[in-house]
Amino acid sequence: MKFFYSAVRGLLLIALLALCGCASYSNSFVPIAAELVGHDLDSALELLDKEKTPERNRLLFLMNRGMLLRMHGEFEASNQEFFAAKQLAEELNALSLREQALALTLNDATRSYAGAPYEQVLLNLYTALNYLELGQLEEARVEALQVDLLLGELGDKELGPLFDNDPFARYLTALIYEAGGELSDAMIGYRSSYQAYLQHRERYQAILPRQLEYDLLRASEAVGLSDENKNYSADFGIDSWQDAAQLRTQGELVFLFHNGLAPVKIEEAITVPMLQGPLIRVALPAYQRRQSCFSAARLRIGGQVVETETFASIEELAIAELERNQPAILARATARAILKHQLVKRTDKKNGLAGLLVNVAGLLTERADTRSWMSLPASIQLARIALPAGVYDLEVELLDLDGQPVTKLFYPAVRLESGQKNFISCHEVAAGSLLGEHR
Amino acid sequence: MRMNRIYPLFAALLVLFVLSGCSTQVNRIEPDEVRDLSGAWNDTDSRLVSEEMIADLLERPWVGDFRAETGKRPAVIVGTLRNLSHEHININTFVADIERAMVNSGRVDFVASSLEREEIRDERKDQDLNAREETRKAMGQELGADFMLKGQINTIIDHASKNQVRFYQVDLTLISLADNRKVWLGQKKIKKFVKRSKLRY
Repeated sequence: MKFFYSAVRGLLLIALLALCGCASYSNSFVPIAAELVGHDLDSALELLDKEKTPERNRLLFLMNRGMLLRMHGEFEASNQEFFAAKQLAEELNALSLREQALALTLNDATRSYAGAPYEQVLLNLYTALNYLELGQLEEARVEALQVDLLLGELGDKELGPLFDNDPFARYLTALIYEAGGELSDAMIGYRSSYQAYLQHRERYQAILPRQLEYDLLRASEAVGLSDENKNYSADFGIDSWQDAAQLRTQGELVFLFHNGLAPVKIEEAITVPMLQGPLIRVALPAYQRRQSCFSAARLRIGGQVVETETFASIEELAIAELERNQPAILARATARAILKHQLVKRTDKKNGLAGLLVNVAGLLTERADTRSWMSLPASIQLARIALPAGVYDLEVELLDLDGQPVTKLFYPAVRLESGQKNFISCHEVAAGSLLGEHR
Repeated sequence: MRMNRIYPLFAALLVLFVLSGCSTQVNRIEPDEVRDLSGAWNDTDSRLVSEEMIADLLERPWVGDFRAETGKRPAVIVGTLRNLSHEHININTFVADIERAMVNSGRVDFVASSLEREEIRDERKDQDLNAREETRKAMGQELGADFMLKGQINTIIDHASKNQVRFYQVDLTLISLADNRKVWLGQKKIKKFVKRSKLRY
């Protein structure tokens, strides 16, 4: 009879849980992502603004809003949001005991979202890109210095080479220094980027971009590091390149292709019935990769044809970050399960119904923290083309995974001035990429 | 038994929640009152640096030398001031502070910057067409500057865990437009120790 009672109770709880499939944070981004496919940014922004954002998710709201405004070409407005986000992230850097206690009793998602290390770096990088696209090199340089500082601080925390030596961050800062004519700083940046790619290659398939090899050769030659230059030349198998003086006489197009959307965190929960006792539920976040749709962008400008190369794989960074955090998340989940179990047992002894209610409350509040900056692209690709100063029409073909052109974009009257770099960004989200590919 | 100990904790949390909902407070403060919030470059830094540096600039012998040579006051223009620091510093307020300190000293003449000049020239062109003869200002009568003030703001930041030492160095150079001579070099350093909070609510 007692066994029958607990079986009925178990079934009742499972039915309750099924009925109450509460939406986690990552679900809230689905309609916004759908608008991004059709480039309907007004609707996307409207959806984002309409959503009720609790104070603990404010950083995500600001980062998403900044990104959507950027996709809309409103770089100044975008930077306003990014500034607010950076300031908030700085404040949230301090530890809140109140939130830690909540995380241990309710769930992880009750804490303020302070941003993963790679997201904080990208926040600076996207602010810098906004400035570059506005043609404000000096302001972009400020961001580059802040990135260097941030990477140094992350280095202090010893999170591992994946987070404190981001190859794309180093590359973009080097590019900014080079654009300002600071070749020795650029050389240091390119070298750090190169070392970071080598470090990252061991961890995941980060391919050293061909473009970086040419940049290393050019910069090392320009600052007079002839031994290093010879080594690079031998290692890369390249013996002719455009030197820095030649490049200065030409204009340069720097095209950034922000491909797809970052992976989504989903909740993976298990509910375990304890024999003759309450149910226990443990919910953990897991990443779901999105299907990739474009392999690269092919640019045609001034008689040259160049394909973009992947410089940053945000997807891999996000997944690695979750892996790094998983032990702590699991530890907190276990501690919560024990605490809730004790509470149910104690209440149950006094009153069966109250015990059941406490058990239901405990199960319903056990949610995985599925928050992340979801408007980030899955990867950032880049191509640099040097051409004589002039006005050009730029044609961009987005290539599918087989290398076949599927979408054509046209940028008329791109002005290149000698000795200057013109930055153009393209954000593209394909309909197919919204579908997950579970791993 | 243990539950009894948890209740006061919950009550304390509740009180904290209620207190956190206090309304916005505004206190008026004097513009020259020093109030450092984040440790970043602020109005106080801008004011102190410009006042001290320009006071130094006006005391140096180049002003007297120029007057002895030519018999007139030197005309100065502000060129580019580069922000090479790690912060988005509003250079405009800094330049305005410098201009004010120099013009008000009465020891030098000050020429409008290239951007301002454009606007004035447009106005003169407009006067040529629309103003009465006797009030019209002729073109080609501008005061050419004798010296250009250039400079940059640099920073060095050292950090360990939550602590930062921020070092600002402002360099200003006054260059003679006639022969590229540097007649004055000014430098002002500011050092701040910023301790960031380890805990928050």
